[in-house]
Amino acid sequence: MNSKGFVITVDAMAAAFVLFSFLLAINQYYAQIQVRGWNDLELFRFSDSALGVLENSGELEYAVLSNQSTRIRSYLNDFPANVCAELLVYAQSDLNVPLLSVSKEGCSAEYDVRSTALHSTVVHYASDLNFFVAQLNGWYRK
Amino acid sequence: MWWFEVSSIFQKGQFFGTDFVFATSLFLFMLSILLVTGNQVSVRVESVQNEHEMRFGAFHAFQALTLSPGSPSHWNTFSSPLDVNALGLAIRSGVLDEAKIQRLADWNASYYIELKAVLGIPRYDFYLHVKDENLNVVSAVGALPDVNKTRVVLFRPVMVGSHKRWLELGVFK
Repeated sequence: MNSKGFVITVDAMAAAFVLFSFLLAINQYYAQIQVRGWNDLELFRFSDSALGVLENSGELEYAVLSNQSTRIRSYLNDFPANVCAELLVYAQSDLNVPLLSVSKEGCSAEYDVRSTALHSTVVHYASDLNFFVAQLNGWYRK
Repeated sequence: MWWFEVSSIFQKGQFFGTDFVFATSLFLFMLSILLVTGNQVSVRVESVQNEHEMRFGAFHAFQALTLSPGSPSHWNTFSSPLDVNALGLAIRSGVLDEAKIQRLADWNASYYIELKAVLGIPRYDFYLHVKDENLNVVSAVGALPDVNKTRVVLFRPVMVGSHKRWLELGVFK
């Protein structure tokens, strides 16, 4: 009874360990917070703008009429390194199989989030007006 | 008598023992760890919040510039941005007016602070670059940030007149 006691016990050590673990986990969790929603929104705006440029510059019409995708591929290749994209063009009469499919070189179809911009476009051919749907898919390179 | 017993307890008791010192030290150590961790979390949340606000301002300024003609739409005929309600460069969605870009560049030296206010980002500095297909700057508005400044950069393909261009908006504090 007269000998001096020491208060560290195994359960106290375990409690301290659990507390430290919680603190560490909380710290790690908050350190990983990022503003990701804006990136997805910006990716959509980027895809939509790029499709608008292809449409307004006449590249889309040229590609449909000539069935040539070289210039569109060259344009997609100029996208920033972290952005991947593919362009699909469908005839209005068949939205299942694309008439034209072009992808940026060096990109694989691996993504967490893919953004899709759709434009309907009219192509003059002879005296006819032909309706097409152009779809630009964009995603961040993993 | 009972008061003699109480008195003897107080005389022989050891209030400030080793276990108390150890427990107090441990408690203070834990408390300091908790405070430091709490402070780190607070700093991180504040940083994320600041970045969010900056992105919000940048995104909406960029949207207005690329999708609207501004208000009034003939603002580029004004002699200063003081009577402009909103800046917009678009002739139509994604196609920008070269004359309006040039007007912004002309105003940059004299009305930079007013331009920030009209763009809706008065708390931040900004730069707006129009780049050609080889990413050379063909038109510049705003100020360039120091390397160490926190910044948000938005990059988008546009048409300027009949030319394919890249528009870059950087917002920084």
